[in-house]
Amino acid sequence: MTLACSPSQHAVDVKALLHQSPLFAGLDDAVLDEMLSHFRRETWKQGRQVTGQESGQRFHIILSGRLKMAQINPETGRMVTLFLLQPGDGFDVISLLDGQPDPLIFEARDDLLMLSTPMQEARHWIEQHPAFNRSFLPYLGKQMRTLANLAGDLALHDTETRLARLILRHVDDEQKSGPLRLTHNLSHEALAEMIGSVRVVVNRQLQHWQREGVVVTRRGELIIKELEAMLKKAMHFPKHTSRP
Amino acid sequence: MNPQSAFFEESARCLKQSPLFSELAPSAIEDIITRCRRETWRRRRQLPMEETWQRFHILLSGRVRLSRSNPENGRMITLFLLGPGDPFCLFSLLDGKPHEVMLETLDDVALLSLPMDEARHWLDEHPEFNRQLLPYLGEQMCSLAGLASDLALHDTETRLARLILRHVDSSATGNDQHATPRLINDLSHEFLAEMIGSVRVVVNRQLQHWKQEGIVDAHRGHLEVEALQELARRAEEHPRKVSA
Repeated sequence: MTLACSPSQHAVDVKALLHQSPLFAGLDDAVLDEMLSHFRRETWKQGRQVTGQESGQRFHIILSGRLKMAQINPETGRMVTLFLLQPGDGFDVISLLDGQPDPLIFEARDDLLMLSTPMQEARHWIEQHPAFNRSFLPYLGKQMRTLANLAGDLALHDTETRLARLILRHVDDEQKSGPLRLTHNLSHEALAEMIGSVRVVVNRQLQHWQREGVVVTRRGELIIKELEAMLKKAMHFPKHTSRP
Repeated sequence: MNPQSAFFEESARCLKQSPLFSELAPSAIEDIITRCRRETWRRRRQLPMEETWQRFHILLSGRVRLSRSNPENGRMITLFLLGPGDPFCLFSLLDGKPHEVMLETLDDVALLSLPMDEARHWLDEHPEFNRQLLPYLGEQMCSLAGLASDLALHDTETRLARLILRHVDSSATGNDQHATPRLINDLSHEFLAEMIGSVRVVVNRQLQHWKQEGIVDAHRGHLEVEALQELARRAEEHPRKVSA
């Protein structure tokens, strides 16, 4: 199955992509084909916001682009990003599990190409394929760890530490000094929403690190220059941070 | 555990009321208990999950909390408060890795325990267990997501109100206004503070204030909700700030 992306992008080989996805990698071709027959193609434009109520009727698999899954405080308009999902991820898993979270907001951070199927059909499919547990349960474990880390960081660490930890969690082992894949091109506001802070604070922190030579930002790409220094910031709670 | 054991019946009764195991056929419940051994742990026992994650545990009586702390600033956050019928460590069961949390018994506890490998094996053999496991995981994810977003988005009063409401069983009350929170109604103010990322004095002042308003009754370490609807209102919005 091959789907064409937006005209400017290359066609996506769906099966090749799903074979690399943590959620579907364990499925063999026949099962994958059968599964895909339940799905239809769906695209969202960058910046599109959808509430959990609207999207909760269907289960989605991301093929290209990134999606923010967030909760919002309607009184203040402040948002916190629970997950930044990427190709191969499914959403939203909480509704799939029949959980009833506080109201959720989904926002396309890029143009999104996805597959989707009615939630009930996805649940039914999972029930009939117990072997899917082998990749599904570890995936759920990983999602739960992400949430536990977010909650732990918010309660225990200051903004500088949280930002350093966020950045390090998104650095792949092979490319420690390279640009950050998942978080690249995100605005300071988007980064702030991932650590429960606000734009000005993140902006000031990144400028400060840039002056220290720990990171450089180049055309929206954030590059770590001093990994050791970054690790230190992520692990220690600095008592006196010299801020301008 | 030998089916002739005096504790066998009691263990089966507990699992039949557990949110995770209640829907299993009696034979499946007996099968899992047979594979387990019974343990008792003293109150106030603390151990890092890294030391016990290779066994799967199911609480029969008493409470256990899973928390993280930051030794540099002394802050602590409770990620899960577990009661009878709850398992740990769910994360390890899902993805086979340890969870970096501290485990602490709040009471003398009795538990069932079996090697994690065997628990996973049992899981493979009982695909019907999915029907209860998946919604249970959904609930746990909601609770973590709720904790993270509360920390990022809401003030202490709202967080405390939400914490209490999450532990009120909405179905069990004949009286609309009065409720006794499950699991948390006899906990110290310090402990409650550690569940919402706050400190003892703040929780203490808030409870005193609610007491004057007739929303809760707190005496001799027992917390009762007296005005459930008003508490729900506090959980949803930011009421006009009252000067402390």
